Amino acid sequence: MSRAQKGASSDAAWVASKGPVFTDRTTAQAETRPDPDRLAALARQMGAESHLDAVWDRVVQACVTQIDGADHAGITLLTGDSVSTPAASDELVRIIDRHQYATGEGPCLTAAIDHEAVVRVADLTLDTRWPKFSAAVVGLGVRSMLAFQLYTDSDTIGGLNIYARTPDAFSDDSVHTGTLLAAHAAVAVAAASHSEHLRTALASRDTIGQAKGILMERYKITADQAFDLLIAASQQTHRKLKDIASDLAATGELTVG
Amino acid sequence: MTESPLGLSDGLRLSGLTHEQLWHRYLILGGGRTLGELREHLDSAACPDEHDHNVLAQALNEVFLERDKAHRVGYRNLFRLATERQGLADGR
Repeated sequence: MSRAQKGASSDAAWVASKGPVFTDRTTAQAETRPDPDRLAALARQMGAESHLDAVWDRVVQACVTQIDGADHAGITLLTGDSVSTPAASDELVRIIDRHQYATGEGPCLTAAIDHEAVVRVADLTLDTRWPKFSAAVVGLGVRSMLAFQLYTDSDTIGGLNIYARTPDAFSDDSVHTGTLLAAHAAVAVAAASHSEHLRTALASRDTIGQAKGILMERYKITADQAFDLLIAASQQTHRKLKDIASDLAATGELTVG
Repeated sequence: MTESPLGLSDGLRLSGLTHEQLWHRYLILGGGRTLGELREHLDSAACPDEHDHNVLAQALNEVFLERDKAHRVGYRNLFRLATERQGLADGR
């Protein structure tokens, strides 16, 4: 038995032990979706979030409650050369995603990396596009999938992934609702990401400013010259400049190796 | 053999960063120019401000540091005390 098969077998055992994960969708959810007013409210709520984790959680919950046929949902995030799952409706999604990342193939990766706006899978047991991935997850109880590329005009963020336990679970309305949610999510994530970058930038700038101030006072030099000293220490020690600055601000010592 | 230092444009191309991603890193290091000004710097042959050039070079070099790559974007006229500490060839 291959490593992938062993992993799938182990995952299938986990799934079998987690019966409640596969609870049926509520009647209320099924009857009210897709709800335009609810989708509009969700778009506004996502746009108002300034923290990425909160945006991801809202997106995942919205997918499960608003997309007809959806049992599970998750996010695939691209960060440089790596992929991760920052939010998922439950552990099964994370298990499935791990199989995609391990095999290097699957609907989510096709949407996120190959820039396919919508990937529709009617039945994983019959679909031949991702043989390694399908073989690995066939025992996990997921049959249908939708994967939407999360992108803005300037960047691909990742993918929004929807799962169902039954084959042919998704209708054209499901695809339409998912496309709307993915578009709103991408805009909200881009905005929240921008806010987080700015928060990080402000904190780092403050630390670097303190470090420069120490060096300026110590050596009677200008701010630009102090920055050059930090560059030298960073290059010499192969550490990031903000880490050098943080140490200097905390200890008064300039680490040069 | 020591490789020649890269220019900003070559460093940006090799880093794979977008202009906006580089600008975020530049802001984190204390840079004060707008994204539009940064684009102008990178598109012109010579960056008019040595300090800005060095902040951008550091931002790019940290990308290569994260990836364990040997590429290095060259600095401009680093403060003499800094070059003495590091032995950079391009210091004054």
